[in-house]
Amino acid sequence: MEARILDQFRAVVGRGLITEPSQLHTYECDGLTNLRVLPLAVLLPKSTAEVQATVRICSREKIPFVARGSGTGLSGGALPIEGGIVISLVRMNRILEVDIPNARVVVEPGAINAEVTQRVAPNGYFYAPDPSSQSVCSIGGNVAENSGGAHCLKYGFTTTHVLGLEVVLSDGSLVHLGSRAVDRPGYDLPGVFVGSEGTLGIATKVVLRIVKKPEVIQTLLAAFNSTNEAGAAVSGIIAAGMLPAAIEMMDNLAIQAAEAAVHAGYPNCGGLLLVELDGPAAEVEHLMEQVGEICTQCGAWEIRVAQSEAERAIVWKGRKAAFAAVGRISPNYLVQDGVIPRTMLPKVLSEIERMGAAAGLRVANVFHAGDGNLHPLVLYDARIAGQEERAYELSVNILRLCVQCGGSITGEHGVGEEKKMMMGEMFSEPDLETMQLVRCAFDPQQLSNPGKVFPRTRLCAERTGPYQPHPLEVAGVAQFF
Amino acid sequence: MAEPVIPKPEPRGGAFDSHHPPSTELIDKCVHCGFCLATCPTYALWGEEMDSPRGRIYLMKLGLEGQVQLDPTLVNHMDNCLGCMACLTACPSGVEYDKLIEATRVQIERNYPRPIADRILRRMIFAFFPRPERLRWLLGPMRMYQRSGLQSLVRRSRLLKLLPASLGAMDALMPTEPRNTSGSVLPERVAAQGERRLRVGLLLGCVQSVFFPEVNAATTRVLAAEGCEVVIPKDQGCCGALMIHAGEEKQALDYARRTIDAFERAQVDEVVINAAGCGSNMKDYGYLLREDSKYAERAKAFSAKCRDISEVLAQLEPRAPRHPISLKVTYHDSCHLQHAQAVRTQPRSVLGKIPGLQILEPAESALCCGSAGIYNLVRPGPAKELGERKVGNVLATNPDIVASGNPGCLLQLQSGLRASGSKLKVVHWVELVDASIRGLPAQSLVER
Amino acid sequence: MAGVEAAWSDLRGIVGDEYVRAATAEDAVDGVHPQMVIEPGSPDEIARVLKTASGAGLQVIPRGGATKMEWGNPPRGGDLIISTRRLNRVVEHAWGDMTATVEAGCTLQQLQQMLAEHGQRLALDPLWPEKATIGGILATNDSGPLRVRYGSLRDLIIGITLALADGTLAKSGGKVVKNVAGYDLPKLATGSLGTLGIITQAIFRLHPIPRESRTLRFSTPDIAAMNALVLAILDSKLVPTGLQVCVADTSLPEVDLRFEGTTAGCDAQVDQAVRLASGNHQMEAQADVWDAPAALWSGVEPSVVCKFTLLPASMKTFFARVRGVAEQAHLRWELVAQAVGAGLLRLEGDRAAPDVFPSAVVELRQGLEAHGGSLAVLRCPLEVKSKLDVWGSSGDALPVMKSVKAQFDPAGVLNPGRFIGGI
Repeated sequence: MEARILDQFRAVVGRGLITEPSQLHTYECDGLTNLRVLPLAVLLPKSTAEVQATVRICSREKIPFVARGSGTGLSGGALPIEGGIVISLVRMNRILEVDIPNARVVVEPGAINAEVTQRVAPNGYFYAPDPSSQSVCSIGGNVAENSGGAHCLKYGFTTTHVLGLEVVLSDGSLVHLGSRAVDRPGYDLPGVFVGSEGTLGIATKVVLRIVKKPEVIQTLLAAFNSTNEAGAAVSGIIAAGMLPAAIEMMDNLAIQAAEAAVHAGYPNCGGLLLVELDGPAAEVEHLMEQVGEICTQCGAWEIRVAQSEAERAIVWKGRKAAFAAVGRISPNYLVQDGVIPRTMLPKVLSEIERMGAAAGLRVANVFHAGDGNLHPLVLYDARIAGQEERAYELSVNILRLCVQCGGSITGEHGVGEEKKMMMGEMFSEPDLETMQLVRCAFDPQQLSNPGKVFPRTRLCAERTGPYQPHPLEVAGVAQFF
Repeated sequence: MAEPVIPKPEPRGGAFDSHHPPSTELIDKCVHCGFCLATCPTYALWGEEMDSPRGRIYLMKLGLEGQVQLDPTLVNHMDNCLGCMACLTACPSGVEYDKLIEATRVQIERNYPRPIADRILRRMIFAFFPRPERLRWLLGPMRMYQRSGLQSLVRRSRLLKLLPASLGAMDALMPTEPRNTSGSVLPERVAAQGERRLRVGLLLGCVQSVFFPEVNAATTRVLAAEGCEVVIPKDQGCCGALMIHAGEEKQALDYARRTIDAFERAQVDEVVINAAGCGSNMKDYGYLLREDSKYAERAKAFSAKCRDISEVLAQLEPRAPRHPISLKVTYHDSCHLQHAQAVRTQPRSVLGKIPGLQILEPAESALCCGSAGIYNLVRPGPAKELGERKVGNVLATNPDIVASGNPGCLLQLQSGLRASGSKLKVVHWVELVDASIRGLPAQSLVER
Repeated sequence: MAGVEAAWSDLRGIVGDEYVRAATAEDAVDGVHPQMVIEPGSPDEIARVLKTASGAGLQVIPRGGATKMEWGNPPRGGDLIISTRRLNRVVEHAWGDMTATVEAGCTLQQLQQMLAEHGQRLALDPLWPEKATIGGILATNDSGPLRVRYGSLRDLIIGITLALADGTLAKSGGKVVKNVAGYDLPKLATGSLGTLGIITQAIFRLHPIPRESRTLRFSTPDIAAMNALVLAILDSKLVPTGLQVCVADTSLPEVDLRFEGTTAGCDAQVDQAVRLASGNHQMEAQADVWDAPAALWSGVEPSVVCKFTLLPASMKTFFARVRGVAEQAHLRWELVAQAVGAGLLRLEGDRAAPDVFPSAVVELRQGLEAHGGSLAVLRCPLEVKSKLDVWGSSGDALPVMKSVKAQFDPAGVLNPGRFIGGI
């Protein structure tokens, strides 16, 4: 990067400027290491004013930028852009205001998800969206991806809990979307900003809604011989008119990995169901009995209800560590994030098994059974010739299957860079073009995380745009339809 | 005896030579999930990816691949690592970061020409700290420095601000009124009280035996009271912890062998260590000496016998009656206990048996206090920040006294509390058990 | 006018003669008289109609059940009303997945009846469900008491199909609740008053119909006590599916509370609630207290009905201000508010009232906007509308909103001028 521009950046962020190549390398990817691009510089602003000044320089010099939180994303959303910079919001990590009577919290984007809950826990509240990476992921990242987590079945996603945002647009101007109160007249701009994966601007303040902790939380573990049987139990629970706080499922491979990591004492079974009910005590007790009965009817051979907060914590620790834990049973893995209608679970799971066997690869399954959000973990060894390509192909085919069954290519990890070529499987050209109208309204210069989410960038005044092939396509593994 | 021959390490066109570079196999276990960022002290301070475990592992990988050289940048980020092992606890994939950072540090010490001031400081540290007799020699001058008023003068004059930060750090860490140690030389053998349950060896430690001899005395008394015959080999020396954590491989291995020899001769059931940093190192001797044909098996067997004092006491049904101590104690988990040795519940369970004692938990208990071996001497800036943060968390619990299980932490906490104007005392937690068994009044602990 | 005549002929060709008719006085919107009313029979027909209309330079006013036509600014123009009356099917009820796909012209009541066949419902209770259509409810972002537990439309909608002014038919979202692929256009369309596109179809997440429902009503001595009780309930472990307050100039503030679920659960919560509300007077409560928002629309004319939003803890301050402003202006008032911080306010006066409505609105709005709230006038006499700002301020977000409109409807075909900031 030209010294002239670096000087400008230095004048804004002072020592918060990283330019050494070896240091820049550590920012070349996020939680998805298969995709790597070296940024020209990394900036760590400490205030909204510094973010604005940085973005103004980018706007003037036509430098694309990528905002980054903790860098734990799984779709390459924080992957740098060729010729661009990374703006790390990590130093803007304060919890600015806590308004308990109105159940609102205002935070900076680098604030850590779990710390928000920690801060309001003494008052009996919690921040509901709980992605598995919550100990380290940032609110800003959650906003970008509209992160969910195990409890979104009942409590909703990040967008459910974001009321307002202060946003720096790609020309450096500051806007306030939404407000602390609900239903602000006008377009639901916070609603469209959350989940826009950093392509519409950089959030520098977020107004969050917090939720009162329920009177009682009960967590049940049920062991089944197969995920099919567990899946039938899930359907039964839903059909009985219950809305648990969370329903999670793990297959045997995932159980093994999680056990090795956390020693939660999971029963060694074909399909493990984790059902959590919360709410008023009388209601929960009554419903938990019903859940137990349904599980037994569907073939559960062991049912345990966590007896203490510590037990509950370790049960969840195992589930939340499951992804990274498969690192213990396989040198490499690819995790996907497909969604299917719940009723399709048995069919899709057995199809995944069949496809995995055909590809000669193991697939561990961990998922949010309650809302059909699958996380197939395709295990492979990159050192064995051909396995990596087969693993990619299998991942793509699994996502394709999800779409064919009426689902989605991503439930919570986002499209990012990784899955943008699959957007065409879910949406038609007109659908994608229409969505990009929003992009043109917010960021006509296409500087804010450009090239992510959509397979073909739409030039804002025209109907078609330049085509950028994805590495998977170049490799001949994926095709754009 | 003949020393094992290390083949001359060859350069590999990257950051590391061919003798035990950080292992690719271990590095491959890292899936880049970032869970370690949540507990890394340097990431908490600076928020920069290069100073996080994930970033350091990435740099090691790049170093192996030849994309990054052993240059000041790389060395700086490795030196910034406290070696607190909080990442070990947080990592869901089981990455053995401790082995990776140690291998990297050894490579750095072998191949990187440090600036002269840096080298002098390290020489000084390693000339004194592993040699209790030399450290003891410093006590006289230290006492003079403090008692004569020279220290207050130096501090008031802000002369320290002009001197290298490390000297300032040393001044701050100096314990006040180091005790007269002449009367506390421990015998080579202390008999068990009542029926003997265990025969244990005790490591005296370097910093511990010079600056906190009362801790060794208390440890011995408690062990004896609980039916342990305590053997304190006269020919023991430094266990090598500070050396290996700084990458001084040869010295560390020499000390390891010597320590094994000394305790083997003592023929004990368990080797008890009351300094977390030393204990974690000694439990690693099996790994450290794995390529030494003469010592490999012996080191493994030796390490299997090493226990922290809390582990020993927690496994013994308390025999000596405990008198009440009505104090609120904030227990600070040393990193080398809670992370490196995964020892958390044992000290609490032993303390929990003291009637009237209330154990308080500070916030951010997984975060290092900044002592980290010699870190507070070679990286005084961040060490001080972390120390202040830890002291803040401790003070927020409003205790009567503070306890920990490692002399480095004790020095750091004492220094930080002093700087904050607090009069709180810091003790090794075994001193509370000792006081409880001896029926000492709580005031005597608080007013020392 | 030849272009326009050709357009009418094309339009007849698209939907058939019997579905295009001349507009009458009843079709006027805030004094703007369109020429024609058209009723397309499918989303595809809607798209083609829009394309033809735009091409001919016509301005369009979408209409569902015509229950909320006067909400918003008077249109700057309107040649054609596109009615969704014929798009009234429930396309799919995937009861095993608890989702439903429904066309925009279907009334809420019709939808609920179909869903009830499998014991499910759309957890939404907006105004006039027997007449209001899904499209109109979405376009105006209407909601009711159930929102305290289930959220408003933005939390229930998971997919949408929009017909844009240029004839594009675009889908966004999908049939699964968990879906972050692409931008969240369902949210953008919600509350957009038809200015970005005509909603042809929406997909919702559903909830089970609860087994039991119990309603409580408390009368509180004053608005401070009312606010304290509401906050106490929100801060408790109770999980109400309705928490509403009714305040008027001539009566004591009342707090309505509803629980749904199992019998045991309801009983326990009712007991807890009664204990929590001790110090207040428990009254007889019928389920129709939940119709209070609808009841606010009838009374003595002239009147102004507004929607206000605010933070829950600020209710007492705002309601006191309402009392003050109304007293000074000699207006009668009543309001119904949901505890999440959204409500309806009715101001009534005698024949001189129309002159004081504008300043009353300004004063009330000021107090709200200062703390993140808002006040939008939903219905008022037409001559008053021109003298006040219907929507209030959108702060520094207006330019972005205008950019969004410019992208979706560059020619300003749809509901021109009716939205905030004159969009």
